[in-house]
Amino acid sequence: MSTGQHAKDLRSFLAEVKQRYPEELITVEREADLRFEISALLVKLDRAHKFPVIQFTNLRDVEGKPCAFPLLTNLFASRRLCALALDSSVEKVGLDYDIRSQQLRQPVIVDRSEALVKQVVRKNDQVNLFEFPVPLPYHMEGGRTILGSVITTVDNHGGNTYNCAYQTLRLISPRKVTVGLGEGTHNWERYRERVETTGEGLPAVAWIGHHPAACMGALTRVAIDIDEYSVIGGALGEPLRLTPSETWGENFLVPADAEIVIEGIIPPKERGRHGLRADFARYYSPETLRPVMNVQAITYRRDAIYHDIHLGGRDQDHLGGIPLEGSLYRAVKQSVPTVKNVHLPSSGCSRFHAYIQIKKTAAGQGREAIVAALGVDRRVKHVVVVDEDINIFDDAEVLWAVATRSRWDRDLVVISNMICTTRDPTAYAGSPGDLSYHAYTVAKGGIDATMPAPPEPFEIRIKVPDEVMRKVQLEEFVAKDLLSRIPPDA
Amino acid sequence: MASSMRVVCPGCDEEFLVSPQFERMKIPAKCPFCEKEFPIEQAKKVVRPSPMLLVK
Repeated sequence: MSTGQHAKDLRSFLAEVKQRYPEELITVEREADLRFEISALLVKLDRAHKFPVIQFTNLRDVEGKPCAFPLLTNLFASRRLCALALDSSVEKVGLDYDIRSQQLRQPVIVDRSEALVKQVVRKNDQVNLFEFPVPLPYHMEGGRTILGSVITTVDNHGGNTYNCAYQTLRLISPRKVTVGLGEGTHNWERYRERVETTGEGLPAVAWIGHHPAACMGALTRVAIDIDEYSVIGGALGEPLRLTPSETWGENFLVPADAEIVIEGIIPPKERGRHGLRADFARYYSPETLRPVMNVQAITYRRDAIYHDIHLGGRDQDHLGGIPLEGSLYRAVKQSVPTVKNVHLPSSGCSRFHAYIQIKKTAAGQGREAIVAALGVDRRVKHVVVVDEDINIFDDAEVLWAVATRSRWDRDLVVISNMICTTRDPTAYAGSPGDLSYHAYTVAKGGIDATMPAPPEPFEIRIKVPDEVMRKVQLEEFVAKDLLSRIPPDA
Repeated sequence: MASSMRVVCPGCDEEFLVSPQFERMKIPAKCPFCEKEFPIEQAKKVVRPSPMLLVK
């Protein structure tokens, strides 16, 4: 790709949505309050099973003043739009994502003059993070948290292997935040190593707003010595364009086509209150002590869009869940080559439940798939394995398979005391108050809800002949307007 | 996680969560509703998780 071509970014994706699915891109021009109103609207849309991307252009901040930036949210809420971002289909988007992210593409470096994110540069005392429209989403949150920030660090040796992860920033003052670095994450390891070997703080960057494929690319599970800017390029389908940072120049490159970039130092010992906040499991997470970041510069587009994630809804579910589906598929395929698909449903926050569809050819494959899937990610807790005739995107159909194809004395797998996410409300702490990454365990397991492998006979599922299903059109029997007036039942 | 404590703020009577890490390290709790900081022993009410849940 020549650097002169228009690169993929948030704007190019929104233009594609507007062209292909105009009804799924909504601009709200009426005034909205950052205190809870945005969440209220999103929760109501979720309940109505409608998942448009929404841009708010007329916002009041928590003090009632007008915001200078528009806010965009629900970018990942529609699985159809996630598929569009990855040139895939609703059913295969997780699998296709995985294939793309395995095909590393080296980033390209562009001059600052070509980087839209450099249109506005603010340094030191000119920085005020409170100017961004950071919402208060839920009632118990006592402060504002940037949720759409991809925290990026670079290795302490060659300086050319970047790690990226969605980690939250809690606003403390205009130039200071706490960073939700979880122990054991790659960014944490970079921080720990930097402090131990040099006694100095860790340079870090938070970038906000990019093409959704680039955002999901930041969540790929790879080894710490793999450059994640190259992984993001793979997910994006083209090299990620980078440009020198304001603070470290070419020693720390930042995404040139992001909406906003925040540059700062995470000092060695200082900790701050990473306040009580909502988490992916749809519960509150208690206040913890986390490293702080002293912000040295921010850069953004002249008309920058602040991208927020709707926590506790499908937006956040898909952002983490779709990349994880691909990782699970790859792991299960090693044990069960006939695996067809994997889905992490919203009923499990797209983390806790995994539905695995297999073409069963031999006894024992259901249990193999369960064990393989449980080892992939500590958040995966319950696995249901079904046959290929079951629609794994329909909770009711998966539960029907559980109801009619499993016998728990034979088909239930339970493993006690497996390491889990600290955000599982049922997790056991190894010792009271120990919040370290490896301190929490929980029982995990799965249900083999597949039919017996052939040639063993099993009951035959009822079915209307395919040709009749194709022939009968609802509107020909029930008037369209009458059909639209029949309310959906529970 | 099963080990969060529920405390009631002595300033505004609202209930919120506190990590036991804060109690162990003697860090004051901070109410997300009224921003009052207070030692956990001054909370109007503290509900700790049952030890049964903490032991594997």
